[in-house]
Amino acid sequence: MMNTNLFIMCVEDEGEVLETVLRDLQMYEDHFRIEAAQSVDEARQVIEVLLKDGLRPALFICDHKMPGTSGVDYLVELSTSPQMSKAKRMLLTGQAGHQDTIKAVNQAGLDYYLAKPWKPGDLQDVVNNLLTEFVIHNEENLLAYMAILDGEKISDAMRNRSLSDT
Amino acid sequence: MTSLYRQARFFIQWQSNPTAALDEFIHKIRGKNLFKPDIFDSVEGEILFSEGQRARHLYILLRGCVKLYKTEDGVPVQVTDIEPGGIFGVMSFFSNRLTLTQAVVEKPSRIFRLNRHEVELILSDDSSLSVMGRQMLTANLMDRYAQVVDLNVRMNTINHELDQEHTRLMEAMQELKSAHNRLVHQEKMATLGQLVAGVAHEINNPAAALENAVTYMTELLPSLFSEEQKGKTELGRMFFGWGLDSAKIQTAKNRDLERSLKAEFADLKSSEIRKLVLLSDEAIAQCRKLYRKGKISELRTGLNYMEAGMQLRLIRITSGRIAGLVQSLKRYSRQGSSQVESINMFEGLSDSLHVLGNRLKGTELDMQVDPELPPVKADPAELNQVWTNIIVNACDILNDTGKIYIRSEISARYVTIRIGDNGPGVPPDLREKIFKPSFTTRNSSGNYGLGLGLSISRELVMKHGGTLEVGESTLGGAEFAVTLPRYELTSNRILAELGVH
Amino acid sequence: MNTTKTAGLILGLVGFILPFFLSLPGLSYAGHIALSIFLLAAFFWMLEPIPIHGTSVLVIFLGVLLLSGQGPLYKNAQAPLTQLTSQSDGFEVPSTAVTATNQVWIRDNGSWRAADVDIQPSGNSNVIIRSTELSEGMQIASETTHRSVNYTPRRYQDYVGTLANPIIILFLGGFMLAQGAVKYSFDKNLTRYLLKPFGSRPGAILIGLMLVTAALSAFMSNTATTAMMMTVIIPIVAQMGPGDRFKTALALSIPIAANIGGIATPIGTPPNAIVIAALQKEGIMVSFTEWMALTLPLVLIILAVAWFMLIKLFPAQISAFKTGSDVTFDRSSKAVVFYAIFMTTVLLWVTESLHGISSNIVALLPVAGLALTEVLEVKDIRKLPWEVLWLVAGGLALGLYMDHTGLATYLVSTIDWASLGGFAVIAMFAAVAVLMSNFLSNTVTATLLMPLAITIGIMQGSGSMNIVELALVVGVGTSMAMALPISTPPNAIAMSTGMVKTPDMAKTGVIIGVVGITLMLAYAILYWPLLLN
Repeated sequence: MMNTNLFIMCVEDEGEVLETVLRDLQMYEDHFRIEAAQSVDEARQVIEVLLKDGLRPALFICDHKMPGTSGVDYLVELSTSPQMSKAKRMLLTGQAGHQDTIKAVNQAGLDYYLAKPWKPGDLQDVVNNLLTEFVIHNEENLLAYMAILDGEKISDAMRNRSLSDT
Repeated sequence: MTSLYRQARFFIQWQSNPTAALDEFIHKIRGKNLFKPDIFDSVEGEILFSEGQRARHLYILLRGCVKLYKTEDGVPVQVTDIEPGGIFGVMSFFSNRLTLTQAVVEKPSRIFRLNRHEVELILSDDSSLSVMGRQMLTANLMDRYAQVVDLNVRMNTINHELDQEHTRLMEAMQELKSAHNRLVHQEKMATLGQLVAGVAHEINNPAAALENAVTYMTELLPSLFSEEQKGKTELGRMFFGWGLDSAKIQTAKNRDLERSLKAEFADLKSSEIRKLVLLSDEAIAQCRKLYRKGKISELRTGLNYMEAGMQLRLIRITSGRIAGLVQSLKRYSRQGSSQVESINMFEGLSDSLHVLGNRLKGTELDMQVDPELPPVKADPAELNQVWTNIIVNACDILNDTGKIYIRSEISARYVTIRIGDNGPGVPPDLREKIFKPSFTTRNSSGNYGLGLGLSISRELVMKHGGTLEVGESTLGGAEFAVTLPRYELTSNRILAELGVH
Repeated sequence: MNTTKTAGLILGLVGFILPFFLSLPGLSYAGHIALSIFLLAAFFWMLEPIPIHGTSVLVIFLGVLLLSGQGPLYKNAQAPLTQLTSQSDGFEVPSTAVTATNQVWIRDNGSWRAADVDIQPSGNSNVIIRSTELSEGMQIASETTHRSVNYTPRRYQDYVGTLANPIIILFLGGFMLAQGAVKYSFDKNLTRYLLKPFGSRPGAILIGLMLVTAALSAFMSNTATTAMMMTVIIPIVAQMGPGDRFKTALALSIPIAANIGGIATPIGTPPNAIVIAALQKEGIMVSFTEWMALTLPLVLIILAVAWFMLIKLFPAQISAFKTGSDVTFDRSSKAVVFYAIFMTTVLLWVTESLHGISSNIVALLPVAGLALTEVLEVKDIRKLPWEVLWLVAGGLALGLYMDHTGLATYLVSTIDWASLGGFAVIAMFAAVAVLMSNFLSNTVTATLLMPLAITIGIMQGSGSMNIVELALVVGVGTSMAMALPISTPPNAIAMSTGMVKTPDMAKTGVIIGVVGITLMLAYAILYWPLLLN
């Protein structure tokens, strides 16, 4: 396994959907640690341990309607936390009403809204784009991600970092 | 000739100036000394004769005003005014019937009263007196007749207007009725609308999982049939079976197990460990054996077959969920049949709860209703509307998190369903008001209902002899109680239904 | 810190300290210091406990500190001298004035020379010496182990000045041009424009890509060119089926072309700077045009060979590609100014032999021009790879130390080069350069080998030809090392796409290396002598 310094967190209470999302994310498991929780409370506990182990968040994929804290409220919380705010945040839901969506966009700086049900392959496309963006803006070593993420964008980003010969 | 002229002259004078003519008449009577004319003054309010008496006199009004009344249902109704010159009491006098009217003096009047003898004297007199008398009577009768004609015409006009008025009223009634129906329908549609949105969301989750599962299976299957898998059929079958029966994912519960398996099976990837977690203990033990023997590629192959089994399990579960929801929705809406039937309210309640599942996601539902409720007579679709109305109200007031309970009560003649919440409740002074149309507070998603929900719900329940009341729930909030009379199908009832008495 | 780095740190420090405990005969005190710095730098560059540019500035710092006339070590150093006064048999001097190899060091007009002497003991701790080279009144060192013996410290400005060596300025000009190209997407647009005429068949596209890559990397850094070309080939690769081996050909063609293309001009890649600076030190000036004349034919032939090799090893299944969209060059006023400066500079460089203005001076045109027109703003200037300039400067400084202290001469003198013959020497250096730089950074390889090559070249005599050829094979050879992902950054980028398997890269890298060495040798014998005379 190459670099597992970054993690992706999925928060979704319905088991069948969670299994599906995890299956979609399988292709990234060599480069990112994939974590899952079925409620926001559980997610918070898991993240506490991950941070202690020195891992950093790259992406949050959240459902909205869940027992306890809602997905949108959690995303707002994440966007204000200095340790988490750099990670990309996306909603995967069918049930955020108009007001909630506005809140997510304005207060949580939502990076993507994917409505359920999603076409097979759509989730992977979105995740690919978001992870590429994250890596370009936050990671030193981009080479490790060339094969698994958007190679074109990463090459372009590298070009703009004034690479030099040695 | 002169008598004819005189008669004509008297008649013309009588028409134009009755008082003068009467004076002449009385003068003539006095001249002939037939009798002493009974002329008296009467005061306002004096009753000259009442209804239903024997008519003994004929009255001629010389001056003032007299009104004739008829009493209908104890209420005196004015029939006509008598002017100076008018003769009254004529009909009953000559036809020897009881008086038809009551004569009441309106203004201080002077009245000339004649009895039978006096009238006979006048009419049998061979001079101009009898002619005068007859002319007066005839003129009086002509007057009366003219009045009758006039009255008839007026009555016709009034009748016609009344008819028109009646038609308009009928139309207005019709419109009101159809407006009412439309409102009821709209309320139903609004409820249904909310429901459909909720159901669509409810279906989203299994639909997403289903579509994706089918895609994975399609990708996965060819690799399971490939050449490399020859000779691994036993292994494959075993793992496939495990996959079909695997448990559902529970991240919190299984986290410790996941951690320990990850440490034990250090060479496996995270996604493979996640599969192991869902296996039974015996299955994990078998995997452990393979791993310890170093047969990692075999283990991986097995896990691939397990994946196939898991996907099939997923497909089975999600398609079942979707089918179940659609079924409940169909039962719930009973499109097109407004059938009044003998029903068990439990079924409708269950369907409504299922269809509202999405809305109830955040609330704790405590359902303790006897599944074998005695039948009541109602329209099941309408009852479902009532349940929906009450439950959605509860969800709104609880802001989608809280507790809702549902209980049933059976008495000798009634079945009651109680739905209560732990919200703020309904204060006693509002308990009747909320059933009035257009009473509305509002609604957590920012929509304003039509405000008709409860009033229509009550109507729908009362239609079948039931009641819808609100009180205090055992949790301190509001409790709505729907009570309907039991409907036993005894033989009498059956016969009554068939229209046989 | 991982084990390689720890090892590097330890070895470097050991290497630094070791010479202080040695006393290598024939090597001056200062030479030992230079050896310390050399060993430290070599291990630090090879194993990278600190970044390579860090090592480079450390080299400059240590040199200033320990070898310059203003550093603490030599600031007030005076060689202890003794004047020769005639005795009957010769001159009586302290025994410490004679080395173990029976030599004394004569100080004459600020410089030192050695003289062989016969010695005879003389009673106390003195000795009598006799030599035809000695005469009355001469000054000789009374302690031959003193640090000032056989060494005239240079000014520290000379060492620090490597940071502003004209070659550095030349590279700075190149960097500014490259930065501007990236900023205004000139590289991208030019690539797509130049690729158009090559059509859609795999072979044609491949050669087109290689030529454009080589052309660009002659003026921009090989690495930046590779990164940019990746964005061009990834969509092309996407059109191919999963089993198509041609993907590997495409992916490998870029680093190959980029590395080879960097040979074509002085500014193509930092090792070239080491070559030119080293030759300049010996008074040999190679103009931009002359460099291109020497290297371009080599570049073109290797590219052709590489293309052929790739086509044969990784044949395409796809028959034609759908090629791209329309190209729009940036037309803003700043971009136009940039194009003008770019063209002018390149034109002046390439025609240096015609007009005679040094390319280093021409390099100031983009530096000044792009900065004052704000075509490159402060934030762009900050993004320039300054550390590469330090890397080269450090390399130049090390060369100076090895030259000034006589270390270079000492190292090469252990072998009798003259007997080997020019060809064998060239072949050996070519092979060593290619081999080493497969594992080490190209610039570091050039830095470590160049002083040795130059010194041998001088020793072999026969004019400047040998020196130039030796310097060229070392410099050019380092650019032909492409067998491993660690060989060059372009290789690493190609590997990271997942389109290349290590055996493929090794195979092609070895082939190119061998072909390259062969061609260089052929050139050294047949072609370069023609030009150099």
